[in-house]
Amino acid sequence: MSKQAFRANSGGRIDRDRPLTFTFNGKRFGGYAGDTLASALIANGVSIVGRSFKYHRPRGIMSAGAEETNAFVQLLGNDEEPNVLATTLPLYEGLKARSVNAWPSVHFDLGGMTNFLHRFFPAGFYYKTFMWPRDHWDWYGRIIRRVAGWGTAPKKSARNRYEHRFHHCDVMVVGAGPAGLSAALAAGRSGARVLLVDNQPEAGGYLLGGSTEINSQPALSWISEVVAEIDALPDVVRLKETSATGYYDQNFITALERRPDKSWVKERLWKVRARQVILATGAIERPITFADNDRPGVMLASAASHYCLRYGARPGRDAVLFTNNNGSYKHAIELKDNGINVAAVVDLRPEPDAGLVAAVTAKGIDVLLASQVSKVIGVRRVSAVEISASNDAGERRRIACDLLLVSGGWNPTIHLHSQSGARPAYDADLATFIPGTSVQNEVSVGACRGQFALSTCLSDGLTAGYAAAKACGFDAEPKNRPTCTAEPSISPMPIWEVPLPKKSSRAFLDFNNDVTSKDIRLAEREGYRSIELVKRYTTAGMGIDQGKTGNVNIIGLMAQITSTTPGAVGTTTYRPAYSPVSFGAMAGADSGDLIIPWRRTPITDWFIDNGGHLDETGALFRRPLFIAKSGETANDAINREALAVRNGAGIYDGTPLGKISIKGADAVTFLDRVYTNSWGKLPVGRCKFGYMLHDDGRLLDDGVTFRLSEDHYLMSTGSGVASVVHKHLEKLLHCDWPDLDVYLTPVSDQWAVICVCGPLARDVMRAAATSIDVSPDAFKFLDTKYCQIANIDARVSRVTYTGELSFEIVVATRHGRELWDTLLAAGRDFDITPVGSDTSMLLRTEKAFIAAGLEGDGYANIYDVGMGWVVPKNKGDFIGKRSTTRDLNRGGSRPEVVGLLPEDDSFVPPKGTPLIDADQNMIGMVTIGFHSPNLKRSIALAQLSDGRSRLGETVTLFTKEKTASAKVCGPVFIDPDGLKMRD
Amino acid sequence: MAGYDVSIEALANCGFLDLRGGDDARQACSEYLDIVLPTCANKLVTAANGRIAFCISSNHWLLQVADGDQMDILQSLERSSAGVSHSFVDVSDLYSRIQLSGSESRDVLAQGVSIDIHPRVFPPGSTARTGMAKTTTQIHYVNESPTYGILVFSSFRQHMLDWLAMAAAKS
Amino acid sequence: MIFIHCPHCGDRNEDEFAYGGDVEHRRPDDPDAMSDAQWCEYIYCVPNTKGWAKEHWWHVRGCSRWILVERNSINNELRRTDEDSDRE
Repeated sequence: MSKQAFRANSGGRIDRDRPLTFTFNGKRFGGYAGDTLASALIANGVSIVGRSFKYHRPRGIMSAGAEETNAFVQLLGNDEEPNVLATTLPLYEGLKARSVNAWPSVHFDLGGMTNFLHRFFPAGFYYKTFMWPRDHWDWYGRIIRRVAGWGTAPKKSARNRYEHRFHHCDVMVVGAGPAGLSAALAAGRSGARVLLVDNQPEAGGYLLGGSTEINSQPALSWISEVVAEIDALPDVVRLKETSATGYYDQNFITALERRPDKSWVKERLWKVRARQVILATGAIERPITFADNDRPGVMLASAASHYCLRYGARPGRDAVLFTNNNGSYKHAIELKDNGINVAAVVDLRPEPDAGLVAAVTAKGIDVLLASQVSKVIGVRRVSAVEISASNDAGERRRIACDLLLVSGGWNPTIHLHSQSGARPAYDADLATFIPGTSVQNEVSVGACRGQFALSTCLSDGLTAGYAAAKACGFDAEPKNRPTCTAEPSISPMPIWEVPLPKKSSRAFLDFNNDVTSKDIRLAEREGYRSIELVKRYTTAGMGIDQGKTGNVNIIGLMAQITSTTPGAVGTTTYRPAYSPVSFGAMAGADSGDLIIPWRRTPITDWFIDNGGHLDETGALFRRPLFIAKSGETANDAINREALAVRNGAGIYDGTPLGKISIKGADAVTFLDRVYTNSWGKLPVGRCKFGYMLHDDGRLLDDGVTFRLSEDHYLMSTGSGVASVVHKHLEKLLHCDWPDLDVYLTPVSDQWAVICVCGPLARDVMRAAATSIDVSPDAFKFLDTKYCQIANIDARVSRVTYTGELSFEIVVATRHGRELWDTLLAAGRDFDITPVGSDTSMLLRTEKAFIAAGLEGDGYANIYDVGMGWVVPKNKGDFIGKRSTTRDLNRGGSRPEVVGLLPEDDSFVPPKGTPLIDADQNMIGMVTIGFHSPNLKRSIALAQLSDGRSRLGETVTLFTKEKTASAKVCGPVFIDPDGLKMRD
Repeated sequence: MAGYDVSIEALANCGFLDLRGGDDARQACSEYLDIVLPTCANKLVTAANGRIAFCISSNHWLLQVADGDQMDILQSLERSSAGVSHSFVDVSDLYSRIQLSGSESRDVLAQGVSIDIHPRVFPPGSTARTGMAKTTTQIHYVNESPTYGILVFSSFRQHMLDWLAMAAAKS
Repeated sequence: MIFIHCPHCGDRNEDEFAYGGDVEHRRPDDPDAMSDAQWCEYIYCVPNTKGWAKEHWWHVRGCSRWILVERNSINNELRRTDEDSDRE
């Protein structure tokens, strides 16, 4: 392990008593607690941290925060994670990481070939080149994916816990720099509930890496006082290492917390609803666009200072500062004071602040006015810079250096403000965009509204914190406003591109996606004027860093090219997330089976223990498709179950059926309006099938409704449509017919429903000690009786979903399992067979009981499915009525439901198989097909154009494998007169 | 390994009645039950005999009674409200009860409940019907120990227990 | 995740509600009196207002009431109405 050659002997907020070791690109290094991976790499003199996305140019660390555009790494080991920002990743013992985009290594990268061939890779390259020949895209794609792209997705699933957390507060403050801390303090002191989030491990923002004073004390002591007071307030929550990632409607903000308080939680995604939001997100220094401005060793001026002062890590030995504003002079002095030789300050402006020039000169630093850096010398590291006059006239001179500091002005971090729906405004004095008019309860303070002076940040924060708390009903005027020395305004001179010295020179705007100033010019020449189109055509601003450093430069250059103002060009849309959010954090802890809130019936456990093959069957239930005995295939089990129902006895768990209690003086009127049939004459204690349509004439549901008392009905609905039917009825009742005296109560889970069906069902009922006479004369089809079965209170109805003699037994849910066990025991002598829902589907297909969603799809009306008989001739309005009369008027051929008997009786046509005529026109579609063990052959239901007039004809089934013929028949394959179910 | 400091307990069935109706029905019920049914949603009243009336909305209540009492009470309420627009339904098996207690209960709840459960706005004795873990719940802040009661539709009982176990776990 | 004000329960997340359509899109009182064209207009031409519209929302995971919400479809801005959907 090498010595940390670029680490200062003292200073910085690192803990020198806690040395750490880490591995980067296979090499071991040392660092300290308090370092980020980036600061530790700098301390070790690692200048190349990766290769660029397209040209594979060597790249170094450019910034010290979330705006970093180059230093993305692949975190290795158990915590493997792609595209982690080295600048915000705290160093820990044993950290292992490698560069992305470098193959085979950062120092020898084959992909770097593209750099020499760059003129063949202009903007829009992919669109222009790989479109031809079209069928070669797969081939191109494989090569491109090998060379391009960032980190690689980990192969193993995450072992770590990711958590979600809902949170409410009066005031949310984003950013714990001077403005944010002041705001949180002012709001917190008032007693308001405050949430303060900051993406750094410690509060303080840029003050952590500066030499500023507050109240004539080092700013850091002011920070510790404020943090101590904030942390002592009971209703203030302060989250470290937490980035606010998205700002949504009605002050809904997501924030990603890394390494939270619980050691076993890796990341926690906060979903915050705040009454007032204060954005104190600071500003991001802007790079300058000049030839080879992407070389390792080119760094934002503030970042270099930050590394020196906060981490004691020197990003170089000999530095030159290239600036266009007053804000960066202090960094030249700070670096000089911390052991870096600053050779010169190159200022684009002819007349910067005289005091600053004097201060810098006093430190022995040359100041070159009206000058610019036109070129960087060196490939793997800056070795010198070429300086020219800002009018590009006269001699060029070279200054040797290994660190070029750049400062092109400051861009307020307006991302969250913009995500809130507000439009940023262009400020010509600052040559950047600042927050516009707020559209939510939100205010920007300090640097993120373009106020860079520390004194303004502090007072801004206090004022906003107080105002936000007051808006929430808390009142405590801030006292003791802190004082600090005045600073000159930053007064930047806008520069969007330093003229390129050679035709082949390249100046980068978007380092992350390798977009150069030439690409922007090309896009404009090719007719892309809208900044949104320029962005998509060149991919500028679309990388992982989302253009945090590059976007304003792109807008500025576009304005310069088209001779307008950046304000007129406008910004692209700022979208969440501000910084990357892992899929783990989005998913949260409820993965696997908890993704869906699966429902259970009292019988679910029995199915799990007895070979039930459970699958999702709608309404969030997982029901058995069949119940296999050991050694049975699915088909074996379904055939056995279906034969049992037709010839012996079956038992079926119908609990998932929807149930709605309908009560009130107008219940009959309500039912008459929502069902096609009439309900007034149904006696108490009886039930019947009801047919419910959508108002557009489609079948919504059919099910049995019982009359429990004079004004009380219990409707059952298909399980899959239970919630749809409930909403449909609720909406009609409340929005269309509020005058009706009817109350709906959904009671699905109150009742367990078990069906005993088959010719021997009656024998099973008798054997189960049913307290009533179940003989055909005493208990008729569609009768409902209250009774006891093995001493359990039950309501039994003679309704059927299989076409067989059936008893539907309804008991309170708590007795469901007991009843099931009782019936199984009672049926043992009759070989009673539990039946799954696939079998049930086969049985209903044999009887052509129409299924909404299969035969009754979005095109089929009630006549098409052969249920025209449910439409009454003489009845007032009901839902769907008007559409049925329209359907009758329409004429033309309709897709009518028919049965199909394939000529090859072992061929089961799959669902969706097209039916074609002799001219290969599609004339219909199979809705379901089965092998029927009862008929010992394959059968199917289909929608067929004018189907009912084609009975007896032969149609062709067209599948991927083969064509087959089938005879068209009436859809009811078994017991067409329904004698068995009425038995 | 222990996770959050909570315990999760599935409680035995209770009697539940779903009561709907206007002012007349409310008065009739209140008189019979000797509880003034609240008219403000997400409020509850607890009677001396342990019965709890949750107000779902101004014309809708969920009455929790001792298991076994529900049918008698239902019949008595029907008699007291004869001729008045109402709907009283036995829903004793529609709801399952779960209890969450322990010092970090709120940390577990906040993983799945989107409403504000800070004690300042949701003090002991509060209740709310809301979403939790992708289903509907009636949450009841029973006491400061802290203990929360969670009612779910009974088909979701196992899901909610599994979800709470996940939310409370250290993995 | 819009934050809808329920007059009974207060402000709640959107996922507790089900959208119930534009208030203006009322079911005609006498469908039989309408021509096929008029009826089709009602069934198939559902309003999709740009800007402010009054909407039915069902607080299905809360008080189960139908409420009226004024929403601007351009930016999801909401206005309180404190009204139930039950027609006068």
